[in-house]
Amino acid sequence: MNPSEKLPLLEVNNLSIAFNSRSGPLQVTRDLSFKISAGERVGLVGESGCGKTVTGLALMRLLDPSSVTITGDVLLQGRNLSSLSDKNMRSVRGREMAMIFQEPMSALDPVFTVGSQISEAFSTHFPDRALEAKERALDLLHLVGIPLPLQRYNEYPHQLSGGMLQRVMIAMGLICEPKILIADEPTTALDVTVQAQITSLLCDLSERTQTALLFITHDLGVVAETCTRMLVMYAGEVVEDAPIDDVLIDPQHPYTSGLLQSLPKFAKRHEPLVSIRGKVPALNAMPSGCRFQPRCDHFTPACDTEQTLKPIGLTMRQVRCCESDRLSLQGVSLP
Amino acid sequence: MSRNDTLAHALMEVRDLQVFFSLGGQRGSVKAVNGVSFDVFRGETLGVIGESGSGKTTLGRALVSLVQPTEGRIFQDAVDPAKLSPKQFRNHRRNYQIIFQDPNAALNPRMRIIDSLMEPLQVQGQKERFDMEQIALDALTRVGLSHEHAHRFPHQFSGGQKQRIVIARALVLRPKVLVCDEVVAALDVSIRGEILNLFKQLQREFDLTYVFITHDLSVVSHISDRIAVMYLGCLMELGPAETVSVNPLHPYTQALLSANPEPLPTHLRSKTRIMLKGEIPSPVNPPSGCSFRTRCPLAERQCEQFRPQWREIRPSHWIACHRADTNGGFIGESVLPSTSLQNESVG
Repeated sequence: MNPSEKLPLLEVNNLSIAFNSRSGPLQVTRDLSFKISAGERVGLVGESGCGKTVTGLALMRLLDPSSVTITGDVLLQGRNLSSLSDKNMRSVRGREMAMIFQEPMSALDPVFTVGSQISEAFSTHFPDRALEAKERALDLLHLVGIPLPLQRYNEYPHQLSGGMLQRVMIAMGLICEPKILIADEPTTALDVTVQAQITSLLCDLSERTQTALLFITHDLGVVAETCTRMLVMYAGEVVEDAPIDDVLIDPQHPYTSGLLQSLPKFAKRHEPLVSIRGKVPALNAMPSGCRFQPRCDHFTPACDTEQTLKPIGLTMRQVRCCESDRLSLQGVSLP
Repeated sequence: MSRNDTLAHALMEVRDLQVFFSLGGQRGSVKAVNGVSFDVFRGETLGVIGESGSGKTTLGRALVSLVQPTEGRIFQDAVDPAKLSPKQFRNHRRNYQIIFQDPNAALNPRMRIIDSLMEPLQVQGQKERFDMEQIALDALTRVGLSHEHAHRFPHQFSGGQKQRIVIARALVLRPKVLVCDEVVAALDVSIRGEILNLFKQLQREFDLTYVFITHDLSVVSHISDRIAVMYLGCLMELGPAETVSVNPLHPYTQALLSANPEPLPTHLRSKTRIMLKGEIPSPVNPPSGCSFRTRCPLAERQCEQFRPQWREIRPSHWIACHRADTNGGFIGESVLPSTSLQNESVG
């Protein structure tokens, strides 16, 4: 993309996160770089422990600085979030960038009504417009598809179902009209029929309001139906970054291909499911060179060198694999 | 229910099972399981799918005698566990194990993993610590963890790893029937295949029977021989896995299949999607007649008035729907292989 054409909404440059432990720093993510434009819906996909959630938390600066070392920059419309004071960051959080968490049941405070929790987000950021808060909260409850908003406003979290609570979380995230919404596994705790409602709601909202969406999930199906672009993470690194259909049809990284092959959807019945051999390396025992190398079927001596995320030709795609142009990897195919 | 003639009885027989939880006083009761009948055959995998609140977890708990039926019977290998003495019952129930849904709640936070894994063996009277450790460590390896994990505590693991430990703990007893309640929901895609393969492999080796409770259609249709679809305490459909997962007859099953997100590129995804409105109603006050009628796109008056009969619409294919065979209706006609069969089944 021509840089003068459009400044990305969110730009992450070489973000590395390490937890401080007694035995030294534990690198959770390394060299994370990506950009998100307004209205874009990006899926951040990876297995548990690959650093997806930590990335989301780091973008929001929700990690405790005393136990975590973060290097690299997070730029929101050109403004470097890592250099903001705590006070200034608080005014960004919730207002310009909001986050929805995985389990709505534990993310909401059980002793306050859902209505007060939604309006609190607004009245904190706009103290002089606190009177509007309730009205806006009711509008949003309506927008996210909660029937009888006026009644629900005064109810407590335990009186609502999981799907309803997740809608409450979305309403809370959206009340200040943030530019970017980070949704960390927002539908994982929900039923498929409700998940379908929530994902189509998020798509509609992002199209209507041009809110960018960073959708953190392990579910490739949800990403395929919700997002326009996909970032595949493995062991703390982005290994592939490409438009969604390209990844599915023609994955460039062996890990992505392996993930797609392991979906039961594409397996023949009564035949063993494909899985990627081995397991994700421990944080303190990362292999040198390519981190996927010990599990990769296409390993060559060149894989021993450090891999960087590099663009593929002139496309919008990037991959972290030195062999990718020599490989022809399998994408999704129906059995 | 149709039986294989060579078997004297199914391994488990469930008859008109109801499990209600009283809310106390005049507030009525939660009708978690509201009249279901089915068999579980020896060596098969019966998949049970449904949304949360459909009663599938309660059904699973009833199958392993963790909750008592309010009405109806469950026979485990022709034995009614309600009629056993406490001592007989303890010996009997080791064959009917369950793996729970929430791994965080299923592991004691103050016990090391190895101790959690050995506990079922101790309960069953095993004494040799070395043997128990070997069994426990073996189980741990088989679910994708390593020996170094054995002496850690649950909080040192991710949710996914904890679920693997819980699976390992159920496997150490080598039961006859394993009720698996959302066991792979917390696992990663790349390891999920391994675990499902492991379940399959153990099933062959030890002649295990599984009741696989899940909301994940792609998992259930891969692993199951038959699939039962539950909604609000009732069975909607039960049939061979291929039929139910590809050409379901019940409008609820169809909606469920269509809501399942598909990891397919845009041009391969089906455009039409049956989007169900709202959520599952309260099991305290289920709708009259058919429990699905409030969300069913095809509901008509009779669905409100009468509860649909649980009937065998085709051999081994059971369904509870008034409209499943209305002639010239939308359901089923195109999937039935021939008109003669259709006439037969409509009767």
